[in-house]
Amino acid sequence: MATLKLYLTSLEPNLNQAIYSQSIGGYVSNSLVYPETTLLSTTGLYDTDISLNTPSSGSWSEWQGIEYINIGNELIKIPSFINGSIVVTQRAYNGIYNMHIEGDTVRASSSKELFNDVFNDSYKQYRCIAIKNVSTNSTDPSNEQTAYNLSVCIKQNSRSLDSSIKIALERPSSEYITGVATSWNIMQLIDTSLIGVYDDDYFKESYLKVTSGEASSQGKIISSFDRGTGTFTFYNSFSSALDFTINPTYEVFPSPAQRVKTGTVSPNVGSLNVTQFFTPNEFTPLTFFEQASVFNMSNLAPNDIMYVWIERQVDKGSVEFVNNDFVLNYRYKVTE
Amino acid sequence: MFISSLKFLLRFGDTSIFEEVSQTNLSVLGDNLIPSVSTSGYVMQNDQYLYGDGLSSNGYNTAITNEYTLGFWLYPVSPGVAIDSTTGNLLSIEMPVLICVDNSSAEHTIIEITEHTKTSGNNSLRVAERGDYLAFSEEYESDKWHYFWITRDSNELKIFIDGIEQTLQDEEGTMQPSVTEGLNTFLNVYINNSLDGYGESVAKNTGIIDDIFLTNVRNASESDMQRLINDGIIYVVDDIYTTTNVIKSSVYANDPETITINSMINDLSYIFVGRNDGKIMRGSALFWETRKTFSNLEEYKTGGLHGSPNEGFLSLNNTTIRL
Repeated sequence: MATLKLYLTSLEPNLNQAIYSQSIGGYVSNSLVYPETTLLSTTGLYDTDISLNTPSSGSWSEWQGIEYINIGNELIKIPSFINGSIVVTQRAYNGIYNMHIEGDTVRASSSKELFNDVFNDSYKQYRCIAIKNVSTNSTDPSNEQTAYNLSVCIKQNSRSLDSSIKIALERPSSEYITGVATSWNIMQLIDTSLIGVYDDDYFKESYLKVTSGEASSQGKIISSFDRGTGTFTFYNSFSSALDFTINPTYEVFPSPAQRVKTGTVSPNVGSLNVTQFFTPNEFTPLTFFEQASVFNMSNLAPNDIMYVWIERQVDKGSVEFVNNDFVLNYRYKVTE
Repeated sequence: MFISSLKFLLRFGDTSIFEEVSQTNLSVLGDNLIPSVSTSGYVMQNDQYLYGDGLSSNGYNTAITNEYTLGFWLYPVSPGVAIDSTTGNLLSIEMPVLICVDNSSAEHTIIEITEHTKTSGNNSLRVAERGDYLAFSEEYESDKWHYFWITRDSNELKIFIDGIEQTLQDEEGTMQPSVTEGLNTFLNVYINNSLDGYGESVAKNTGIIDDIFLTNVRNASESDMQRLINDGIIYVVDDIYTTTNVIKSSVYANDPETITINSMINDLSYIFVGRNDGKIMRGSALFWETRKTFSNLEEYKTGGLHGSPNEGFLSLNNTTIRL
């Protein structure tokens, strides 16, 4: 079954994003929106003892200082975090009780993260996060890894009467591919199997990463793609010390989202690849309709990405500013 | 399209009492013929009960023999305990929830679900089957929504409340391999009705019930219980949704509760504070409003001056100068 995770966005590809206010479009970063772990044992609707597995990093250091954990649709207030055994302060802090089972994703959350207190003159701010299909075929090649008909909805909007959120979807204009170079040099990589397959500059601005040989894990941003020759050209060069007689395997990640100047500037919405801002509920989730001219970006194959823009608006004159939590749901079919 | 094992589904989706598998309405019986139904469920009332006997009154075609799964949301109430008029001892009060009987004039009880009050103020659910087997759940709190999931195969009954398997209490009798042995598997259903009548320790249920389903297979899947409780019953019984997965993520975005300030001026009308990041805020009773007066959209634009003559202050985009 496909596994999707949520990442912050960053100005450059293949970066860790430590500053939440800079998650304003561009490339998918290597940083999850929130630190994650999994639930150790099943928890009923009203249980107050929660046990967590140690995070894959092996340490709880990222979890120090958190105020809430998020499991499913439920936000749970916790006391000062020490380790994986928690006696919660308040279940259903956001008013939603959920049942949780062993292995569920648990995210750490605090009030000082995705959003801050910097708004524009319309009292709005914007963030962009990426939904990425992180499934791999390594464990079970026969298993279906594609997430079909992805849609996003706001399960719970802000509980504060003085604030609200809207979301817009942006799909990359190019898809994830892998291949084997037929030749390459410091500024170009050629794969003749791509001749005539994709349009000129289809992969422009996407990130190409070499996955074998001595340049393995090194990547470059593509400045142009030539349909007639299958040539990727880069903005910056590989080291001339590399052995260019050995052709590597490579992967090209989906193109980046638009990036705004600051978190107070709205992205351009309402185009072929970007929806308008909406407040879709669970009965009318936001999705892209399949279009013949565009590969179906409602289906996320492994490594494919969908960007979600979040517009947060507050009202002027709020004496108190609490209960601004909200819940996004990402729905997909596990089979076509 | 519903999964093939689904034999009964009553969601109380609107004001009708509509069973969706047989596509028939249940009847409202008793003194009050107007049921109290909303999207929150059916409010069980004192002299009222529901009765369903399926298409053409032939019963619901359950084909149940050795296995079934029965689930429902219940908002239980506790009327307390009764006092035995003879001994003076406290008596648990039994309240009907749901009964399945065979579609015959004899109405053999196949599955009977009742609630029983406890002196603690909690309730316990009893599942009784044909053949005099019965078992109770652990206690659960009244006045809270709970999800009940009851499933059995030929030799074991399981009760789950809110997704947690219960240790069966006060079991009596021996489970029969089949609950419909020798009987018609077309069943009728009563909701909030005691076929044995009422007495000092048997009372009508005044709780709320919702999303009742019955299948003819055993299902003890925690994942399915979770999908039903968190996402809705449709994610378990409808083919369109059973292959849909939902990833959830909440974002908590309250304002920071504290800020660090380096300086403060009080001109007796407002309080001006300088933050450690260089921003200046004008304080008032409406603190938040004031902070947004100095929002940062203009930070990267060239500064424009505007005066506030009544206040004696001049704003330079995001900063303030005392005149």
